[in-house]
Amino acid sequence: MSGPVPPELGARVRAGDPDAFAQLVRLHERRLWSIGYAMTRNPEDARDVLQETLTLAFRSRGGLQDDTRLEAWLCRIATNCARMLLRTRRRKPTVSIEGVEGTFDASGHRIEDLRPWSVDPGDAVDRRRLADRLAAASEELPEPYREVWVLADVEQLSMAEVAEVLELTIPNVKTRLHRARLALRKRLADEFERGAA
Amino acid sequence: MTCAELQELLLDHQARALPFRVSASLRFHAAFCDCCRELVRTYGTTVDLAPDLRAKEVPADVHAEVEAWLGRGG
Repeated sequence: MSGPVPPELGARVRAGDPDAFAQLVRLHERRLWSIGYAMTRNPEDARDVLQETLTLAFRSRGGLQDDTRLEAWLCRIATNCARMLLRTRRRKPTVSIEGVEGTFDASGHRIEDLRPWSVDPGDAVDRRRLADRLAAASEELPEPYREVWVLADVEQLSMAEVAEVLELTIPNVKTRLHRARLALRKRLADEFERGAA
Repeated sequence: MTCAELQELLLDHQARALPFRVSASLRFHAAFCDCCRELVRTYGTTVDLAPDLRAKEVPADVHAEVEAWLGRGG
């Protein structure tokens, strides 16, 4: 997660010190915005997520349990706010995550054909196209997979940190992340695989 | 190693968390299996692209709203 948290910041936040709360917000504002934006892909929704996150954090700061886990606490609130907002919005239909593992024969050999992609991620223009398509594809991921993917792959939190934020086990995080990646890879392959329709 | 086993190990392979012998076995399989070689490559590309979607900074108008809110004491 972000750099070291000043000592006593958590205790000061819990005690209601407005300067400490402001310091905490400034430390983590970018990540909270980024989580909201990556989850909703909409700047107005991301703004709502950030506002709601800060309001809820301010209201519940007295109940802060662990002074050393401030960022995880804020990220958990932001993820929950994004989840609640998405449930009230009309969204693109999500795709089923079933079947993303592909098909294998009885001896474990892949049946379908995977071909090289027609784009080069080392080329700036192609990379932009791929990233745009990845962003669009992420909107179709079911929520539990999308949350894990945003925190782990977009925000680059460790498995342990994602598990802490989402209150999951690490194996559960890894399973969801792997399936999310396979689903996103498949969506990109549908578009960019050579000979793809 | 089979294609199914390789796919199961991809997340740890990507994180360089596999023991050397397992990683070597995965690479050996991929060297002779066109589909798995593409899977390893394109799975890696998908992972590599994701941080490009990270917001580098908060938009100025949103940041100003946050600062105004903090200035009012939350």
